[in-house]
Amino acid sequence: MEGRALFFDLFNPEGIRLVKARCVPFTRNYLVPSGYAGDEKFFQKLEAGGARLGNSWFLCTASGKVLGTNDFALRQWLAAWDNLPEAERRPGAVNIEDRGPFDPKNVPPQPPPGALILKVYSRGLERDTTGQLYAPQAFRVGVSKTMIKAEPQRDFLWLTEAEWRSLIPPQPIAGMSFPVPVSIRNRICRFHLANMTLGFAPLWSREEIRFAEFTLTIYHVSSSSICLRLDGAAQLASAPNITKAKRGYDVALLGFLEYNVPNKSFRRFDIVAVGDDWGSFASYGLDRRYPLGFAFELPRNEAPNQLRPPRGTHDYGLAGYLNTGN
Amino acid sequence: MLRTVSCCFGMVVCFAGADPVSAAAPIPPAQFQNLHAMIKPHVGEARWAEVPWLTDLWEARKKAAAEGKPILVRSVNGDPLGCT
Repeated sequence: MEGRALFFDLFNPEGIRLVKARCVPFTRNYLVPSGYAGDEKFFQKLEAGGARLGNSWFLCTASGKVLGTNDFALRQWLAAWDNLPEAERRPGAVNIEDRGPFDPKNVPPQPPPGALILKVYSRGLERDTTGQLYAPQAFRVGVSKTMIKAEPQRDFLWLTEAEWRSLIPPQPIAGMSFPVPVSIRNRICRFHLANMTLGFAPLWSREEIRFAEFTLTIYHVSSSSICLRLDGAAQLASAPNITKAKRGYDVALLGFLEYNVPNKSFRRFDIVAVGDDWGSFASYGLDRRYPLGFAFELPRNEAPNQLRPPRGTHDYGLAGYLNTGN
Repeated sequence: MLRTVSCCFGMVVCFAGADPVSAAAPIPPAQFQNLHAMIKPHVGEARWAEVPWLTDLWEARKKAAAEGKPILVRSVNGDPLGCT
């Protein structure tokens, strides 16, 4: 998303090379504790040493000495590292203390056992003079009409094992059509069709799903695979009368799913959602209707720590995120 | 009630009825791959994702100590690798 692009765009290819070669990169959501008292103690030490722990960057040693903070100046910070005595810098010079017992309270949720995880990207789009959609390089927002980079936002969708297994009928036949289970449809509508391209617009409530119809149609069945097409449409709006709603998203969906019969797993779960969004970022000065797109797909080669909890679990807790069956 | 709306792909559709019904045009299957690729990160975007971020502080500290490197910390009020 744009906010992230503003910060992380500090990384050009040379910056990335420098980070990979000379640093151990660590990132965290400072609103969510790790569950280890030792970690919190370390952050307190960093704060006492001058690090700002909110939205910030800083460079520190493994023992907790702050080398640079606030304005991102990696080369200067690395120079401070180079000026440390060899005894503080050499490999193995620092012993890392035990971080104590794990307290699971308030830590990020884990996906339910057997859950299917999908990556979800969202991007603000534009139409050219012929009506064709394209991805703009930047968005103009705010009273000052500031141009900010239009990088896609990302999130993750969790389906329980029972939910994703329910997408394949016991006796699949080509041509068979059936509705997507309500819990899946509503979870996608409420938590994964909300505009987050400029930050955190509110997620949709159950009542704000004014219309939603998702249908799966089997178009190929063999001993190796079952292929399904998803057709969907939804109208999400802050008022029952969409013409009077201050915020809304009128969206169509199309998806192609492929189930690997021998492996009993999905090997394709591609979905596109495109429609007009309005009012989500009116406070940013973006008060016009504009096309908003979502793309869903299976993870490929991501490290386990790259698969993050859905934003909906942060706002509603795991139970609230999963309890979308009515 | 008759409504007329402009929809996704430059067409105009009309339909009747008081119940909320999506006016978004169905996505043509021929445009599916193009749209899917258009929405996902493009080459040169999301450079931050090229950095092998660690998300466990203790792991990061142990790795930094073992390799003789400093730790670059990015702290965010949201999930820095997820939705933020």
